[in-house]
Amino acid sequence: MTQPSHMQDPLELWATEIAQRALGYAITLVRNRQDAEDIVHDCFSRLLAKSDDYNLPRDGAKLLFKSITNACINHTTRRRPESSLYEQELVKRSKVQDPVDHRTAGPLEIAMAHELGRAVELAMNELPVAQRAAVELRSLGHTLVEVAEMLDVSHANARVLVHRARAELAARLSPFIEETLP
Amino acid sequence: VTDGNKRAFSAVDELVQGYVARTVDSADATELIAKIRASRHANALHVETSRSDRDQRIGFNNFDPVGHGVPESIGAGIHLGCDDSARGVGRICGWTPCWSAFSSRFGCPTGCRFRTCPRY
Repeated sequence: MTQPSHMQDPLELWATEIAQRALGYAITLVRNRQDAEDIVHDCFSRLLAKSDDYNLPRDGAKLLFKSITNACINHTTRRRPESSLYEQELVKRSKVQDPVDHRTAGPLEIAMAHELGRAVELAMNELPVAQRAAVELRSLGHTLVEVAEMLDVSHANARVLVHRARAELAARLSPFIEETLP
Repeated sequence: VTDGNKRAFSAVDELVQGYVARTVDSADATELIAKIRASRHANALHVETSRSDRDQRIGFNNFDPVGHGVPESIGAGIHLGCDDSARGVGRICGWTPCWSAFSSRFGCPTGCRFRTCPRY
């Protein structure tokens, strides 16, 4: 049986493989699924239109994440300031799962994991978008050099962004972290 | 960075990794992939039809208003030299004309009429 033509296209395969990671990343930055989907779609379209100029299966991830990061930062900085109540509401509406397996955990573990998940999400939401992008890109496995390239800042600046984000998160999540530290 | 900070930072890294991983897991990209596929397909179709329509409509193959020479293939998406693409022309429809004289006289030949295109 032959595969459908779109399955044989390397660009299609590349896009399919990376789309979920890109969408998840954009959602964490703009905190709105529809906006994130529009941004990622637009970035994909622009990149695919230039597929003759780049080797997308090789370099595409870096280019795509760079363009998503910039678009999300633009989107976030242009957006009207929102109240903290709205942030709470966003967290409430979020569909991100709790950091626990509901099939095996007991009620207390589920409740604690739920609380931790919410706290992490809220703490991330309260970071400035550049810091959030930097720390998330690091956690997605990008090096500091790549993070600097994607955010269009110097290497030192990228390091500062990551450090500040970690320090801020450590302060906000200290009750949870202290529980887990030996 | 003190040892305490190091431990706290690695705990933070773990929490952030978990958060990002959960967000990615819960982001259903099916719709997005379908959109990307559809827009690529539509664009490919559009390129084909607009190319033949355009050639027929304006006798494009022999048209050379500024003496650049007629390229072998005038397909949408081919950048022929000038920087009209910087103004957004062709970002959506793929048409990036270098012949300013041509496009200001005839408008965008693809007729995609996308609202942010300056030729619309």
